[in-house]
Amino acid sequence: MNQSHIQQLIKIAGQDRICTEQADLMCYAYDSSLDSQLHRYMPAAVFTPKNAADVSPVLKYCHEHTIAVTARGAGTGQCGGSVAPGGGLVIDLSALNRIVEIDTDNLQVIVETGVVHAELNQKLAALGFSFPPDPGSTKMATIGGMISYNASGMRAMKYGTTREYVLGLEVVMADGQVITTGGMNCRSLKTASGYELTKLFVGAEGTLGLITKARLKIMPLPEKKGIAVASFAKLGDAGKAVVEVFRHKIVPSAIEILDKSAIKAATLYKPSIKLPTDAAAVLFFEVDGPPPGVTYQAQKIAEVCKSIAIEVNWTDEPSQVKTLWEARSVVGAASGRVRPGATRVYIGEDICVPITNVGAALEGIQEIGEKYNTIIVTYGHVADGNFHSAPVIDLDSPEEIERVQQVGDEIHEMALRLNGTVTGEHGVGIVRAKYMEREHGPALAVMRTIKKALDPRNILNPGKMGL
Amino acid sequence: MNADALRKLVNQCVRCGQCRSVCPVFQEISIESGVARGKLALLRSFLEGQEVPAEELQGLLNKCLLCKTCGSQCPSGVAADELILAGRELMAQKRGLSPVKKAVFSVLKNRKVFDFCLSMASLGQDFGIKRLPGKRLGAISRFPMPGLARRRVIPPFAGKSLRKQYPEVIKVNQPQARVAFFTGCMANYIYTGSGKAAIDVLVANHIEVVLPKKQHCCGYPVFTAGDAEDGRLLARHNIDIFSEVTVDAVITVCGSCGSAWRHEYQRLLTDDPVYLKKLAVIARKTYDIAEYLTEVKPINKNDLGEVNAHITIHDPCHLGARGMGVTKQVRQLLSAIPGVKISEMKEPGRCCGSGGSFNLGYYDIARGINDNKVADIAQTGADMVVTGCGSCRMHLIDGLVQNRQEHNVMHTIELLAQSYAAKQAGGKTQKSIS
Ligand SMILES: Cc1cc2nc3c(=O)[nH]c(=O)nc-3n(C[C@H](O)[C@H](O)[C@H](O)COP(=O)(O)OP(=O)(O)OC[C@H]3O[C@@H](n4cnc5c(N)ncnc54)[C@H](O)[C@@H]3O)c2cc1C
Repeated sequence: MNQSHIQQLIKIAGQDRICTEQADLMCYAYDSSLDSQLHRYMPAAVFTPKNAADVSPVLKYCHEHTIAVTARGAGTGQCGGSVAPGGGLVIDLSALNRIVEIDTDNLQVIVETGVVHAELNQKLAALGFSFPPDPGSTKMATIGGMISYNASGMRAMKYGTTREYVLGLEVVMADGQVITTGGMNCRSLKTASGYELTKLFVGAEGTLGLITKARLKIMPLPEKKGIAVASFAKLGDAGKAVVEVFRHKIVPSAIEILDKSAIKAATLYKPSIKLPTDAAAVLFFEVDGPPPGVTYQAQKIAEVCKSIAIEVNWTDEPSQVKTLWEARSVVGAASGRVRPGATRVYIGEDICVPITNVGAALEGIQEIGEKYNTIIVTYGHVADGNFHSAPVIDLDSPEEIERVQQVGDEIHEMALRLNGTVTGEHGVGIVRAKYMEREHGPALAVMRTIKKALDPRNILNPGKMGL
Repeated sequence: MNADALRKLVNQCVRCGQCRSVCPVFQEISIESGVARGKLALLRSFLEGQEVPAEELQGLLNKCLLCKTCGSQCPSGVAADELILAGRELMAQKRGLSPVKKAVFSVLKNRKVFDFCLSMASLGQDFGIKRLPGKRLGAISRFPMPGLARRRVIPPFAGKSLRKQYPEVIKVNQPQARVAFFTGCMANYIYTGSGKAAIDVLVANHIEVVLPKKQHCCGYPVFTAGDAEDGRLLARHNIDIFSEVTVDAVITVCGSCGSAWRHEYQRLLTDDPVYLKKLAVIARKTYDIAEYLTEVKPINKNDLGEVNAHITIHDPCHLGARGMGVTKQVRQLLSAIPGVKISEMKEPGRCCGSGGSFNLGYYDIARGINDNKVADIAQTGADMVVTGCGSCRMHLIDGLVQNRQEHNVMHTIELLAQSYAAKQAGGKTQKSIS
């Protein structure tokens, strides 16, 4: 991309929508991955559209001149997906943040893709509804970023991931053409018509098209929530308890695990949080639904866990439920505190394994930490086998950085060995591209064929996902 | 703070981006360089010796209201506003300040020249500005003025500064306490009514008021611009002046002045044990007026007369929950006034966009942030906004006028003073909106 391209883009998009100041560009050279802290992926320019319609002419120009284009939501992704390693144009969709339509009767909303998840859910909650996928980054992640990574969170086992809630999309294709997937005027909740193009763009990480609008399914909010907290002497026991709960025909809305390191981190951060510090793991089982069902399920879980756990308690009292969730929610932020002066980094941070391999994966992560002499705090969504392992390192030490990269490699390799995946929800981006071949085999070649068909000049997020 | 210590603190930012969800500047401009995460990333690169255009960095670090919202909600506990401030200091050392700031600060540093300039300005101002009709203190300039948006509503300077209106010691019969009043520039030169109201209420509570004549600007505009050296000069001067008076407390009527005494001077003087010691004595007994009249010398509610007003309250960043923590005390005082109805706005503590001199440098952004505030105010149905900071007051009045809203903006203490006056007059005051 040269100066004349930039001048042309300014003509198309308007002077105030194209940033070229060096300092501004530097602010688009990272997301929240460690990788982008170690490298600076500078774009040549940043485009900040105000309206969905502004995107198409820009993409058309970029296509004509083979200029790389990287879509960016909030840049909270942790695998370098929204940065531009080869330069080119970054399109920041933050200002496309209008909620176009809320239709609670038909259980759906239409939004521009720069809308932030929490803002959508706040509006919906006031009406008694919610868009159920719930990443920990709710306050900042955009709907476009969530769709493109197929984001989810604690409640994915019962409610599914973003994919299950995307009904239709407005997509600007590589050549600038605008298409609507899920039917031009379709407002139905399901369809059997044609190829499932909508879902093709979910998890595509901006490599197939730029999503400007989305039609999303919403659900009524559950009337009540309850929670059972169980602590275990051994990691394996925690895994057993999860399997037992399902065997007893209970589907919790979330099952979260905190291992010893996570318990320590949460307690250091907020000493008022009373967690058993001698346990190898704590499980939080959340149940939701109509009030009698909530009480029944919470009690049942407590009963099932009794013989396996050191201690089990349950409550459906809203303020207690809130306090307990707070203990879980502070862990991510608290991770860095287990080592003064050190920082938590995002690498190998969201593997996902079958439930029966949860114990093995947790033990494996601990062993890897010991092998490389690196503190790793681990917590996660055990209901679907998805973990967040947070290495805590001194960013000033090149030697530690080197070591933590090996830690990341080993964690990913272990996930594949345990019949899991290298990413449960955070995506592939740059940092996990190297595992695509191993994880997908010949299917990667099919992905490449699709990519070539839709983006023949490879301008959309080139190099990501191994494409 | 030295560069290495600063770099280590900046490193604690994991770039999760949560500051995007609360930063008023980011919400207005939706560009990554507008938010703490972006600014800290740039600062980090700069401190690591990477090539960062220093001028652009300095400009971006200035594009922050120091409203403290990001720091107060950062999951990693990064006090971004403090780091941005430290970054400003570093850049000011390396690159110097803008010529305008330099000129303004050199006047501001010299109390006599500052006094003289402002009295001259007050004499000549009716030639240059046109006062708006009604009770609120607002005017627009007749001619384009450098650094000031043309349509902008500004307050006129007071004909006579507050400190010139009073003797140095305002005596009362049988004093119950003796306080020194740190007026700050706003109450001294512009909103003298709020200074007078504070004195009236203190006197009505049998509290002797000392008004040290040689007190100076608290320095907030100076050290937040990165000029720590001059900030220290003003801090030391004020500490000396207030160390000379024997009082039970020091009273402020502005969250930024109060924060300067309580928090900022401490930071500025970390390497100066002599002044730190002197400061500790004063900082410990520095109170915002609302805090003092509820927690130290609680007012007698029987002294309050009726003021018929429907109000909403704006909590300034440096006075409210993220600053001195004075929020409930303000409500306690205001709800004690018979006739006052309070309708809370959606987020009373959300920054109004003033940010000291931020609104001069980035008027359009400040205006946008303030428009949201004005919309929140309008939604309450109240007729008046009450706040505890002159800078917010000025910016709010501008916003209300620009948005054709009729509300007046007053300082908490002014409404309280009206209530005392109503009682003394034995009747009601007029509804105090214009
Ligand atoms: C503290 C923290 C907690 C997190 N917790 C979770 C969690 O619990 N669950 C989870 O799933 N994730 C989590 N994440 C990761 C991340 O927040 C999510 O994946 C999120 O969905 C990314 O959204 P974003 O708007 O920041 O997207 P970005 O990071 O900006 O972009 C993500 C990818 O999508 C592409 N993209 C963005 N917008 C569009 C568009 N409109 N069209 C096409 N492509 C687009 C980008 O090119 C990039 O490849 C967390 C992150 C942080 C920092």
